[in-house]
Amino acid sequence: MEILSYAFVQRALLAGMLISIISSVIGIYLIYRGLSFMSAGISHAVFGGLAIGYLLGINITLTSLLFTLLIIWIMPFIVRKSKLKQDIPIGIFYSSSMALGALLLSFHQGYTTDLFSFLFGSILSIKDEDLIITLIFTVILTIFFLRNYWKIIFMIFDQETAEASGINVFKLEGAVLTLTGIAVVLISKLVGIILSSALIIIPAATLVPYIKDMRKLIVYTIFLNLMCIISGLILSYYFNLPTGSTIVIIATLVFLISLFK
Amino acid sequence: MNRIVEINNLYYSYNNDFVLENINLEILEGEFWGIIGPNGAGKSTLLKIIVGILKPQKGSIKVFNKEIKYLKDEKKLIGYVPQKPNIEKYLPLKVTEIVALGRRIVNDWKKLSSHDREIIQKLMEELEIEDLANKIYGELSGGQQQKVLIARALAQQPKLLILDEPTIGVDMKTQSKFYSLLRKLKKARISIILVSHDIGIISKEVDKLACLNSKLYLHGCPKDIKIHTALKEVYGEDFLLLTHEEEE
Ligand SMILES: Nc1ncnc2c1ncn2[C@@H]1O[C@H](COP(=O)(O)OP(=O)(O)OP(=O)(O)O)[C@@H](O)[C@H]1O
Ligand SMILES: [Mg+2]
Repeated sequence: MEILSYAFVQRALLAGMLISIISSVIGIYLIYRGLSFMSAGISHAVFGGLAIGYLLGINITLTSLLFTLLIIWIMPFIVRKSKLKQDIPIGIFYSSSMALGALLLSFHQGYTTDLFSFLFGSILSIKDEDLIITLIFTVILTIFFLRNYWKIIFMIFDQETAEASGINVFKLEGAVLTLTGIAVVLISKLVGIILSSALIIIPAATLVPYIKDMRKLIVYTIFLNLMCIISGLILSYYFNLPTGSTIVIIATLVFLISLFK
Repeated sequence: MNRIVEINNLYYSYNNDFVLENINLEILEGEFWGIIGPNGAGKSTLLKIIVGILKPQKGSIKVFNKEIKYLKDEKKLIGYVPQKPNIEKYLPLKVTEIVALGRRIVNDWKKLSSHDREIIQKLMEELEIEDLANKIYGELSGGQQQKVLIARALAQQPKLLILDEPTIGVDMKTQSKFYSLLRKLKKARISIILVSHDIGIISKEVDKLACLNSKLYLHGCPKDIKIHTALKEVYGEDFLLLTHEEEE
């Protein structure tokens, strides 16, 4: 277990734990809310925000966060105006923010290492400050979900009745989606845009059909998430593979195997 | 007596045409109202306005003597069973947990007390769903699901109970238990609004009857109003052919 003695591996493990908690909770929420495409969509928006930051020469984490939240917040109004089911306008918007990102980046010349780590991630080169921010966010997210657990459950179960009984569904869902936006940006920063939406959806999707107890579902999903990350880390270390892709492929294999169990 | 619901000159439209026009209605504490009318008459729409899910374009509506948009904690006192709830069936939520949601609302989402558990237990026994306690909602039959939703609304111990065709798919035995439960609630001075197509039951159970078809055609005590004339007006001339005439 020499692998554990490296500081960067320890950081990666800690990051893996935090990411597992964040992405499992949000993934389960999105799946039961029928919003699983949101995570892929939001990660596209992150890309648009990155490009804006590059072009303006300011902090790209900040611009991707602002751009992502902007899109999340205006989406309900666009959905209402369009009178379509919400996945359609969201799909349109997110592909266009991807296009916008690519367009803006074509104007940018020079150094883009940050960009590549944002896209494909490198869980093995995590900075302390990112880790601390993610840790703080994990605490906030956990407190939020614990405090609002039954309200959120009620909203998912029967939105109309929840609203009739005084739950402000618009605000509550807005809060959860805002947290989702921040989560996707943070996770993308740590492990890359592509891995972020995969980790949010795949482990949750693997277990949702089988576990008939919410608390167990949350715990098991976190565990599965972490297992995918750790085994991905180990395999990529020993076989010299790209870590992010290895993790996604493992998660996908587990999902496929679960279908035939 | 306390006014629980007060509707004045209310209009509602989804797109352009008004589906509710010039509705005026006053519901007092402890009154049991039945609302009848043909499909598309606007019954469910009216209930959704009363619970605050839809906002009327014109007119005013007060619940518990407050404009509906200013209701806050009072909303916990409204129990609602929608006609076609859009439920996430596969949420792994046990029947007891669903019924308990009703208690959690009133308790400001604090932990359940033993008093809460008693209320839940008793309701589940009364509606004969105690054997289903540990089942998931999606694994229940249609009628069983409906009973769970009714139990959840009753668990709030509401002051105003709004029921949109609650006994659809519920067997006769449970229906009669349900109506005797409603009679008990009425004695406890709870106001009830019940939409149903079962005119026989409605005219037997309720204190006040409203016949709705976009407009409110007639309302009053079922004994006092000429129910057949009203129904004919709302449902059209063919109506008499469809009723059991000896029932009157
Ligand atoms: N979401 C909606 N968008 C547009 N129109 C609607 C919507 N819901 C209902 N309507 C229309 O409003 C009218 C009243 O509908 P509502 O559901 O209130 O009728 P109802 O009296 O409850 O009928 P039923 O007995 O079939 O339940 C109908 O003409 C219906 O077409
Ligand atoms: Mg209806």
